[in-house]
Amino acid sequence: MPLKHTVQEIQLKNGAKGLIVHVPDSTVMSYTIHFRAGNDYVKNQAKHQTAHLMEHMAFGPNEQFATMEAFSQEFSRNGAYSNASTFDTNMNYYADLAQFEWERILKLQQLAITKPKFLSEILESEKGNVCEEITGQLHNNGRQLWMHINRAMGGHSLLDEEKIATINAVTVDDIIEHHATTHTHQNMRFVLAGDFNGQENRAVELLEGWDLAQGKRLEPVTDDIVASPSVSLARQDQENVTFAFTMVIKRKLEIAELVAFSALSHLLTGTLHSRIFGKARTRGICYGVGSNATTDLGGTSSWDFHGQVRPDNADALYELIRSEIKRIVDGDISDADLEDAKQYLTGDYQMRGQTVSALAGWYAGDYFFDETVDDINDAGKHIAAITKDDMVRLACEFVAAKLWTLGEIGAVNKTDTERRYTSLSSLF
Amino acid sequence: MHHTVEEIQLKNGARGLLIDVPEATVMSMQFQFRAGNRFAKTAEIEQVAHIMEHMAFGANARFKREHDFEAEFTKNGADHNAYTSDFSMVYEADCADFEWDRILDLQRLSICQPRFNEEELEAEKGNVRAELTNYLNDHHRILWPRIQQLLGEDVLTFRQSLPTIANVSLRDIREHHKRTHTTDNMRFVIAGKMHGRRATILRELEAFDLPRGEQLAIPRDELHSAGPAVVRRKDASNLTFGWSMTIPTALDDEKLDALHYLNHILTGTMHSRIFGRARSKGLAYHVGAYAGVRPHDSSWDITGQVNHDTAAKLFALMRDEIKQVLDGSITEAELDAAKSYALGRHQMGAQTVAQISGFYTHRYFADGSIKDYDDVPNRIRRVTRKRMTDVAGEFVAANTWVLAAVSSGDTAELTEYNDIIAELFASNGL
Repeated sequence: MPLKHTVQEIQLKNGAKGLIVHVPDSTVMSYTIHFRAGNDYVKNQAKHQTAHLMEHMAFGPNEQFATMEAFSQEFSRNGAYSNASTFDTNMNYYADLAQFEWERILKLQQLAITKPKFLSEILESEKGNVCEEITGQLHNNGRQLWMHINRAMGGHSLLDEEKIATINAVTVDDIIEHHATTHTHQNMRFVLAGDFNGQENRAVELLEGWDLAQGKRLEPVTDDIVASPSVSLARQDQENVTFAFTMVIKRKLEIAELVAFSALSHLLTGTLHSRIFGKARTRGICYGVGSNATTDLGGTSSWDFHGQVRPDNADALYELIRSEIKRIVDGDISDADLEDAKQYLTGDYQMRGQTVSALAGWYAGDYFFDETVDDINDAGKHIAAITKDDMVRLACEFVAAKLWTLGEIGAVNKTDTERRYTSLSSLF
Repeated sequence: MHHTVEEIQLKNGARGLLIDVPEATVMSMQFQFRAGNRFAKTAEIEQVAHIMEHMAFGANARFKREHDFEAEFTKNGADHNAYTSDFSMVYEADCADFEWDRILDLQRLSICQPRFNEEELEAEKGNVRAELTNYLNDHHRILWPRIQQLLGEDVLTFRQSLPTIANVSLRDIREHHKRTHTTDNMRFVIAGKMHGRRATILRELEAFDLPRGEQLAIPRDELHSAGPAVVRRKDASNLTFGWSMTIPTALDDEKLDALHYLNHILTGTMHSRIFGRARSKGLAYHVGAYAGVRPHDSSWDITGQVNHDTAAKLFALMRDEIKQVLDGSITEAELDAAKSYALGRHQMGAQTVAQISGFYTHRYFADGSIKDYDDVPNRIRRVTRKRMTDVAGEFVAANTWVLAAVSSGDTAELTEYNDIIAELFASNGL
């Protein structure tokens, strides 16, 4: 079972909002501080990497520490771990720490987030580091494929090469401006998890004292997603094919629907006896194939199948995927299938939330997305409520929408990808 | 989580640890055999171990098909996996506390009573072929077998392993299982709530229906230096590198701790001597240093990714910082900071049953040593600056090392970097 805990939503007087997840007797704390401050919010998209660079620089000099080294030394002196990430929409700051120093680390996070000193020499170093980071991703073929699929389907996200090209144009003034417009109280959300031992009010008092502008909650950038022809990207070194088959609908999925998709994913690709992955393994045609459903702030949701396959097995694998989705659309889910999936998901959820950071992650995902507080202890109720009709209806909705594409990267050519795309298209 | 450890010597020859975690809500089980790729009967069938491990999840004495066994195993969310390394084959399972006995029984079934058949062999050959082909896309994965090979270890690269798949017969699979899956060659670590269960667990383990056999000996390799080597990838956008230094003995605990915390000082944080300085100069996104111990040798590895235009500066930084360590420049303040960091991390550890189990398994499966969790703070406090300098000096004095990289560049480029770090060994009078 998940660690025992209680969740309290906090509305600060300064406009920030968040959750305190109290986990009695835990010796570890986990903090995530979130802003809608990703690359989409950069004022001049010709300087797209401003947000990413700003996030790197937040670990640099600040009002109390003259160098990044000095700040890092102080932060990590008792083993505390910090990190941050920047996406199109979100910028998140993370910390995992020993319980005894919860206040010291929260104050240091406050310092990094509210009182950074953005210096030109640090900017130049971080330009080098960000260039190193993204260049290292250029041979991450799965990542490159998804970026091209996003672009083909009408998404606005930049490709990695395009991101690198924007790095040099960024100035210190751009960094300062981005921080000022995005790091505001109204735009901030937080999840603090651990044993607060009656000191929740002290944590709230500290957060109330953060010195940021009032600002506003920034709206997400949305895309008008369209169906796309196949995406085929040849890579000389790759001997197999990394693929993604994605279907989209133009609405958000509710929590109950995402849980129903968990059951569908289990049935299709979750285990060695699943309908797609299990059969593929039995036939020896694919080492791994997965599926999942996600929903985004732009009001669209996607149902994806992805994996790697050798070229000589790709046609057989795609036909298996097509035929098994068709079975679902035709309503071919037995009572036994449903009960198996529910039983598995029940056991699976019981093994979640075993650490403080896992609990924090559970709540942060939904809360930062749309301020939903999805009680992990309600997972059983959601699972019990899944019906075959829900699963079939959702599958039918994605197929009926006809917003889809197939992408391949690796040992591919356009003719082969197009043939496989045509084969899958019969599903629609 | 509070826990206690008991070592068990079974009458059937198997040995292992029972870790009692009174508050546990899950049970974690691991069974290890010295049955990895190095124990294949011949190099021509090197992938026999890996394929056998895949087939252990297939048909067995109670379930005719992999599908049926898997459905039964996972029905309440239990998770199982297995992996095959150079020396080990390890079967892992995590399950909810209430069904520990059912899962232990199913683990026993797949390990002791598999029914290897031609149909599943052909399927698993395809799956293993797909798996190794996937690995060819991972630059870190393809780098390290090449480094091991250059140093003199008797291993194959993934590309060399691929053709051996077709050579494996059902007879080979059965032979490998019979020779390696013996009770004397088996070690286990079971962690979870033990109260009222100990006797049943021991009875179940004694009932493992395997021959006695023997614990197979870890082969000894004669390690040597080798010139720089490039694994060419035309699409590689940067340089994925590994620099491995070795010594022909297993580090004892005190030296291993010293090297571990030296690595922290060198690459553990944003203020570390190599990684931190590289970041502050914009030279590399990540560089890490690691210590490895095996029964006959130990390694000190530095690895990372770097762009071609900054690589020379990064290798010079690594050379200079290790030279500084050899010159005794680690300060008392740095040592204290590393110890303080390690003590904090120790407090943050052991949050889950799997983490507790993981603390013990690696070492126990390697050489039968049982680490003392409660003694970790004392071990941290006992680390000295001199020991750090000495252990670094031991690796440099051994002068047995190799630099390799996955790159679109040529060997001349890597030779330039090799020459930079070679100065470290030359300056040490070697």
